[in-house]
Amino acid sequence: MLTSKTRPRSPFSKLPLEGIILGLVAILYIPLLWHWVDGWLNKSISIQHEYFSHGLLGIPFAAYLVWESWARWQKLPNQTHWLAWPLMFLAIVFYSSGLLDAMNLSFPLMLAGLLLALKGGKGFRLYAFPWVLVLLATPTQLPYLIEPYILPLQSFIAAVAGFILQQFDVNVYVDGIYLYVNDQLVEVAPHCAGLKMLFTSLYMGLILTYWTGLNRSRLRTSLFFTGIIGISVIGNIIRNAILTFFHGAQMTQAFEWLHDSWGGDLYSAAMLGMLIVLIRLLERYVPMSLAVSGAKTSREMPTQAPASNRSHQDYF
Amino acid sequence: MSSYLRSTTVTKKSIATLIVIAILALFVAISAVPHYLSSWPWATPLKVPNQPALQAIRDQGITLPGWLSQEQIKTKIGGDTWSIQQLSATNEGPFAAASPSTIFLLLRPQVWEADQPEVEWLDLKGSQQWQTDSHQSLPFEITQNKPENNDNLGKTVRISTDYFRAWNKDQTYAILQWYASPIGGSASPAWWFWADQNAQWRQRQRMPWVAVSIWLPIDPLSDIISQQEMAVALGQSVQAELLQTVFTQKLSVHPSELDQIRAS
Repeated sequence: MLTSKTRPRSPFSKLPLEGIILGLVAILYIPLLWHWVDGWLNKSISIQHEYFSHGLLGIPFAAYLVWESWARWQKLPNQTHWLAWPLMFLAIVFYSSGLLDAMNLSFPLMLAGLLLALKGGKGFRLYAFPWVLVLLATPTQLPYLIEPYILPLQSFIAAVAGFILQQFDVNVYVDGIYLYVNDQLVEVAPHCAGLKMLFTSLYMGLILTYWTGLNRSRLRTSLFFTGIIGISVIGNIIRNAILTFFHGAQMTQAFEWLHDSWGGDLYSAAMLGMLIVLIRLLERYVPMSLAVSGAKTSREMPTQAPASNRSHQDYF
Repeated sequence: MSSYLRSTTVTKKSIATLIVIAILALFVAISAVPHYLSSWPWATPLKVPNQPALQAIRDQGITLPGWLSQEQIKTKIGGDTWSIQQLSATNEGPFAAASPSTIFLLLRPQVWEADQPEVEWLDLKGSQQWQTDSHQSLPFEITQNKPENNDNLGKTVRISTDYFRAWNKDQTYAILQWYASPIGGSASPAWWFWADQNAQWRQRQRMPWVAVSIWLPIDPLSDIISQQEMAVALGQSVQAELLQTVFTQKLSVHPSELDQIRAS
């Protein structure tokens, strides 16, 4: 079906029409995206907004993936899925509401609508992964709604951090999510409990599994994501133990360095470095699947799409 | 076969693409251009109604009928500024025979539009090093009956509070707390969140809130059931006071709709 080398030409030549669509979308959403980036770089909007700062990397990466598969997109047959119209309608309503939370959501809705309108379900499947990257980088109030439910994680981190400090002969007392060191109180708040770092790590993990092709193996992928959660919890226990120690010892400058300054960024970088180490270890020591025979390997290369370099569908 | 496919895709392509372009162009003209010409939503965030009154709570607390404010201080708890009031029952009035006759009222109002209720209850618990138990949801209602506040007259609001026992090495309390709002209240920040979303979509304004925590000193580790009636009466009194002094702006009808009603 796709053997013909000359692409169908419409009376309106292809590029301008798609260029016009791209231009109109840019007019609509560039100011909004700029506002997101501004909030991420200058930490000027809210803690909830900062939860999504991984978008700084994820959105350009999504754009790169779209560009990379552009030739395959153009070869797809033109069809329209009916869902496109309600999605675009919702995007327009959200955008026109003038409410920021709704306006943010309007962006991924509009993109999904456009994919479905221009190339139908196949077009959406081709770009599903970049679209998910954009969706997960769209600032919403979700962290605000989740925060009350991670109290057990906060208590756990406080308890273990207290236990570690006791091994170093620090006079520490743990009460729920509070650590008392030399009568100084440290609260393990939700964002301190590493919810943000966990979000970022999972998002980066998503990019890495895709990038390295780890997603071809379900076993490695699930081990990887379990590992990410483990690393970010352990990392946060260590971080909170050190923070509590600094606070209790009245080392204000050291506390601020790790809590607010580039010490925090260094910690984040170390965490993300750990993800790469983990992925290398998985690739070296863990088999593609637990099946003894090689029968399962046919899954890796779906016969339906021989041209595909990575199997997007397998991901979800 | 292939030429047939080609011709149908070409027409389909043109139609769907042209429709999309038409929709987007209309969308840009109607929704984006006005923003470019005036301002974007993040430059002009929705306001909290009656913000000065909310902020004044931190400095003055509130007055409760039947109670005399012995002392009011403004203090930081967990990074936020609270008003702490020690109140004692006056000899006349509804709480003349109240026991305990001295209570504490802690209030933490919203100070600006991006201020959301978060971990207020945990901050209080941590600052007092409380142990808590007997947590229960204690709901009550209150009907507005002050004639001078016509907008809210006869409106009944529902409040769902958290009622529990808390103690440290110094004192045991029966505690009643909730986030108060013009349309009611709840101890859960999620309740406020959806009420706020609703207000943003319908009234184009934010939903103001005040964190209220009432402490009734009781005998060491005694039962809180016997204090329940007084706790509810106090809760109703505080919510009524807030409705009359702080949450005065009418939230059920949009100002423009009000103009239409007046014009007709």
